Amino acid sequence: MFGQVLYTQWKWARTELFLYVLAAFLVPTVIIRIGYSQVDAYSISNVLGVMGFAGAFFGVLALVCAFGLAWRPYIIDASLRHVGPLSLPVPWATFVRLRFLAGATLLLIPTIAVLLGGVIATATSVVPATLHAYPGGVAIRFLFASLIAYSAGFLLQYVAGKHAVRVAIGLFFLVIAVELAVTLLGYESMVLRVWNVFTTWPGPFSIFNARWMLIDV
Amino acid sequence: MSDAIIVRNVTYRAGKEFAIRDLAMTVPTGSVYGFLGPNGSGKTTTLRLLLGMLPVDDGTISVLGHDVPAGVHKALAKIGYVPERLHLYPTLTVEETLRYHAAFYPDWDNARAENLRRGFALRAEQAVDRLSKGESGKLMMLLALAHNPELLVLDEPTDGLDPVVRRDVLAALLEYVSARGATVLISSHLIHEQERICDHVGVMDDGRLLAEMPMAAFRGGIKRLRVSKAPLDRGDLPFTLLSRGVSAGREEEWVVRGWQPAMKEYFVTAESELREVIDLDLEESFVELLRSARVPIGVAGEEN
Amino acid sequence: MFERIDPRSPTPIYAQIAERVRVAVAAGELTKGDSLPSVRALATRLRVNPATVVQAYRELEQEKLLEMRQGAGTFILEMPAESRARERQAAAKRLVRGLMEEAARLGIQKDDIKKALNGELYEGGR
Repeated sequence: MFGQVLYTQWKWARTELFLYVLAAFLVPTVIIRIGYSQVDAYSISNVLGVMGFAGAFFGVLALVCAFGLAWRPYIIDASLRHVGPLSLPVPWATFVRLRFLAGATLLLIPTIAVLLGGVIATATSVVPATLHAYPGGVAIRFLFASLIAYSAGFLLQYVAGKHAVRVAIGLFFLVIAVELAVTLLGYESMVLRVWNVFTTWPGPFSIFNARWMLIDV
Repeated sequence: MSDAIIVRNVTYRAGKEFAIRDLAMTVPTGSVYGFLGPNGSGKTTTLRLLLGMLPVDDGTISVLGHDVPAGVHKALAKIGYVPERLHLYPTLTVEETLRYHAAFYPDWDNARAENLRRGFALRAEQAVDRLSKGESGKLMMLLALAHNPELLVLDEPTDGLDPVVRRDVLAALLEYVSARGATVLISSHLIHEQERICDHVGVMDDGRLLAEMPMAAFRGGIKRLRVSKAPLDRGDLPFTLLSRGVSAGREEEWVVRGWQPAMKEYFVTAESELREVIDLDLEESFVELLRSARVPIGVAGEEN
Repeated sequence: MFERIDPRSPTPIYAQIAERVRVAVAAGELTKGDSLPSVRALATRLRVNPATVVQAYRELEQEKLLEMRQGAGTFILEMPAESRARERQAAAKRLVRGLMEEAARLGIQKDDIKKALNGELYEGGR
């Protein structure tokens, strides 16, 4: 059962996964090439600067991969009114679990691409003395980040169902409204505080806030 | 052998309206049960309730001995379902679709699936969204039959299919029923088709089951009478009067239910003349039943 | 032989099937040893409920007209000449009865029927 669910989800995501893999391979190298051509590649602070810039790419890629894989199967099922899954002889909870695990497994593909892309990028460029390359570290960070984003997206989708988009938009406006109210009343920004809670350790999204450095001290 | 499907006092609300009201239905094991009813009467909703896809507001449903929706997925392993609309993933090929379903059904029979696929002339590498309507219809029937089900639940399986495909689909269904002795619940507005293959009938209208009985009894039970010098309603009719209308001059046409030949006597004693007893086919019986259910004609002929 | 089975007719389908077989045997179209289609094949071909075919065959089996042999098929048994003749007469009677009922419905008098019958019988060859 899992095998077939995985196969179908892979087939649906084939094209976008290919694009992510391509991006993971090429973009780090490209950024480093361009970056090094702009600055003195032997200056440590410059290198770290370029790496910081490249790091943003990984974070964004993790988010994009995660949400795509989380949402597409649900959208396909929803367009068929979920009749397929509902008529299968497995409980709904089991089916949702299979979907979740299949999508999570597929995240391994871009992760491995990030690893290999990082290895290639750092192997073909200058690493100044006292700095080290961490393609493995970045890859692991990518895996965790994407898994967390994937889980959040998946949860939102399956709990909110067809209202997921509306819920997301509604939350967004709610946040803005709260923020306005709080600021007008003279208090410190609420949003910023909540954001900090979530994105600094031990908040769940802290991993996105960390440094995604291919080359670091 | 207990019945394949037992429904008692089921009520279902969609929004504020009652979609299904106090439904009681029994599908005997091994029967081919024809579910008739106009559009919007609640047939598809009922089938969805039976398969646990919608939650009941009240009442009990038992399918193949399992409670719905509590144990429905155990029953679903032995049920072949053809829904009203295509429920298959459009980007998968025929072969991939078969493999996907095979993984979920323990009793899947690859040989049978392959035979049906060849018999239906479906190309394995054809994508589902490239199939014609007829081919989709055939594929859905294939999927319903391939895992050796005890019960088939079919929602308009031949609707919109050309006559050749319709024959192929029905032939596959009847072959299976002959060989396996499965129970079939088939909802369709193609009454003439239902007339051929069903041995039980349930008539639904406006969320309620108006009548449920063996096909022979249903057809045999409703007759049209040509009556001259029609008697006045004395309230002592031995049969149920569904409708009466003037046909020509002093002649009336009565549509009755529960007719027995011996009831001719009634007209003799009422000093009127029964000129003819006309048999109705399934479509006419169905139309008359619906008509009378919607416009009850007074105390003597009122449906209970 | 089974082409004109009419599901809409008041006669139940199984009775129509049984009748066809009886008439065919009486007319000599089917003789001893001939095989009839299996329940499965006939139900599929006619697109009718298999139970109706079973009912027809069982009825004929009880009349000793055919025999359903497990695994081998369904075969016609010997129908003695007198039975065949009786069957033909019964079929003729049914035809005439139907004619008379129709005539009564349309208000046609017996004399008109007799005239028409004679005309057809002796004019259109025997």
